[in-house]
Amino acid sequence: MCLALPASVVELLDADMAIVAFGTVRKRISLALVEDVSVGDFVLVHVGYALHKVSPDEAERTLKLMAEAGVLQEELEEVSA
Amino acid sequence: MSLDGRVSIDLLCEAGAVQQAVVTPPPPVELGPIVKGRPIAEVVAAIGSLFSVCGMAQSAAGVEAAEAALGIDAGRRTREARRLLVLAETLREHLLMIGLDHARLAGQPPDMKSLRRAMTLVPRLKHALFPYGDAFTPGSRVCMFGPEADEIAAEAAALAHVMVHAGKAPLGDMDRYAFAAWAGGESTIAARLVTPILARDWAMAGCPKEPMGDSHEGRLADTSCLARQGGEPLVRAFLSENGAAGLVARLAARFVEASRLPGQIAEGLAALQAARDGDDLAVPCQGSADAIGDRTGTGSAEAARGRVEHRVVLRDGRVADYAIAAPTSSHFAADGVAARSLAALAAATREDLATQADLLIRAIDPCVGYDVRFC
Repeated sequence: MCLALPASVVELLDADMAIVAFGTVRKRISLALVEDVSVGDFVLVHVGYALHKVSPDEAERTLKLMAEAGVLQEELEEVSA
Repeated sequence: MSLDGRVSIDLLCEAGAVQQAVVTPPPPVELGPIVKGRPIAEVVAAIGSLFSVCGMAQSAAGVEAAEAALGIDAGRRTREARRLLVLAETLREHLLMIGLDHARLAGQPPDMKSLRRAMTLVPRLKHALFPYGDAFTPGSRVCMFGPEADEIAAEAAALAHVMVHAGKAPLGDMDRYAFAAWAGGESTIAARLVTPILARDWAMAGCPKEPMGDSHEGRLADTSCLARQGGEPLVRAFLSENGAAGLVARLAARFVEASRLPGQIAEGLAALQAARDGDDLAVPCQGSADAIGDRTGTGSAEAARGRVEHRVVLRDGRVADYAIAAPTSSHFAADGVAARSLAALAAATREDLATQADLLIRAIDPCVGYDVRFC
């Protein structure tokens, strides 16, 4: 189903792109749909786009839920592919 | 086989036609560990966070199931307010599909300014209707709201005007010829996607021999926007004689729905302003209790990609079981609508076949990535 994975923004790039970290996995994504993102912010990522910002607490809660549901590893494998 | 949360599609081809489409949906998410033994309000909130792409629809179905099991009547205004949030989310998802995917397929640059505005519609409307953040808490109530909600509806209409349909005549009322003329005008991204499809005579690409009706196929029913907009003259104009849908009927259904949603949201907000909870129609809760005291509730919502259905079982006030039926699982099941539609594709070249497959899959719209292989 429609899962979006929380990630922290570690580097802002040109053209609304950024490097985000899903734990130890780093990925280049688009920030074009979200305004006012800074390094250190958490965003929800779906098919290569940040959908919106989330608080660190919400990101942590969602990651915990995904781990408990057994989907976190699958999602991390997908983003690192 | 899908191992990583993607839809896997193998197209077995012969003489330029797909003979069989082997479609494997992503494995279902195992909800047990995150729901069992927990308070229902916590579970509904968790599901909204987990499935955040269609979080309004998932949350609306979840809270409806929860309230049914708890025997709570949310009241007509609150139910309607939640429905409006789902409509706003559906519009956002359609605009994202049109503005990103369809723009790419049409060779157009995405209109990121409009898309960024589209991303703000749902959180702003949610805050206007439920300023305390409790839209999907069992027993919550919608608040009286100010002009901001109407401004959001007006902004939604402006976005649909720019990205989907700029004309005054309703898109859904058009016939094939008026639609072709609209597409030829290339006034929006949606129109520009359709023009080459009609020019290449691909309108009926992927039209299966038999339609997939709601009653006919049960759990594999097509509940996408095609089902919701199938009665519109424009969509009917692109169905086969026996009512089956090809590529353009699916695209037309999305465009018609996206163009109508802002008006439906505005009408719903006006009705909310005029109504009071005391006006509630008596809507029976979809809940029941069994002999050992378990209480079961069901809920559903029409998400952008199709119907989501939730079923919860409460025991001693906590969740004993929870199940979700989601449209990507049914539409992209082995014998679902995607497999049947893809199996009807035929084209002069492999390149055309691949393009048709891509268009058709995105028209049916899985909420996850997908891989297509030709065999």
